[in-house]
Amino acid sequence: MNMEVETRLSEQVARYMDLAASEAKLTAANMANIDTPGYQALGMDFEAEMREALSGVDDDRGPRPVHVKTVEGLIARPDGNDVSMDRESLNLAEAQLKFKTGVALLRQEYQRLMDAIHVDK
Amino acid sequence: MNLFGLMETSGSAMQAERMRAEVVATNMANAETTRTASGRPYRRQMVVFAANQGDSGFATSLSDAANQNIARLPTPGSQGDAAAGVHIAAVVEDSAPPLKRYDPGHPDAGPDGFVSYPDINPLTEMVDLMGATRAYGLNGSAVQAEKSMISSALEIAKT
Amino acid sequence: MQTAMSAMTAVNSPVSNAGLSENSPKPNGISSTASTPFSSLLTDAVGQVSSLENQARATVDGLMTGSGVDVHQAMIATQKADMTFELALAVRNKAVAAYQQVMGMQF
Repeated sequence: MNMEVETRLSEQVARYMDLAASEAKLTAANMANIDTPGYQALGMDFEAEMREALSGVDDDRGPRPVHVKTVEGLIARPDGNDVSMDRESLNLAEAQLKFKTGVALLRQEYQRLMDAIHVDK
Repeated sequence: MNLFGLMETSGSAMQAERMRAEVVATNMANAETTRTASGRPYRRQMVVFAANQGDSGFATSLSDAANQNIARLPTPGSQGDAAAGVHIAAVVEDSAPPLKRYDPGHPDAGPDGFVSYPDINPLTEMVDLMGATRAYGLNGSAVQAEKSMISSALEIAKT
Repeated sequence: MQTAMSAMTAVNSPVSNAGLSENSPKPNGISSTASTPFSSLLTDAVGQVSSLENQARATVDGLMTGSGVDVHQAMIATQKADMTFELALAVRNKAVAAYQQVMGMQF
């Protein structure tokens, strides 16, 4: 009898939160290096990573590594740095919102499960 | 690197930017210093930013963290040591030649009557200071965002 | 006695991934000729709860020593362990209630 309490949705939301946290970390690293000469901004393709994570939940794989790559299409300043303050601020706000959305969804799902477990109380 | 490591990253940036601002302040204060402790005129100082070790291994540590299955935890200290962020690699002196002004009566005048002043342009320094302030504020708001994320994560288990 | 045990197994747990159905007298994977399927079910459940709790504790340790475990991962692990424990508790209570009900029957 498998007692582990998890649903497909809760696993998906957990991966979503992992990805949002990764995006926040990348953005923070970019922000910290806004004045480092020659630094190239790092980024990740959130949608692609999320698609892969969703299919991973279905196939019951573990979490996959996040593909970090330098962002294209950014303009480099004379010192070689191409970090854009506006872009990073926006990304951080987005990542934060995604994270909080995940928390809300997860809490809802857990509440549902707890209600089911205690249905006779 | 976990979410707490995020605060270290942003914190390192704030520290670096503050040092940069301090250097700017020193430059401005010594714009007219013709004789320092070493006897020569003051030379303009500049900071050199360098990304922390972790940034080159950032992709690795990120992938390690994302690869973590709750059922397969790494041993403590095996990763998460790579701190991303930035630090001041060096404070270097500007190699530009000093400004010379003709003033034979000055105690620091050379044999030719010229006094050497540091080549510090207040406008340049102010722009530098503004850049430092802006970056400081940017990373400060990043810290706020990170704090908020961690608090909301703590609410997952709140009944 | 065997049919009574099977009936108790079928009655318990409103939520479970085991696929036990209300009406079948023979739960999945348990042959009616096994000696004590029910007690092993409970032991197995307790074992799973315990292993999940260990995982949760390891996650929290990882969080506290700063070894790359994220806050939300630790919270999720502890929450899972809690819910699994609650589930096991509910199953146990149901089982005990059913057992007492059976024992109280006048033959």
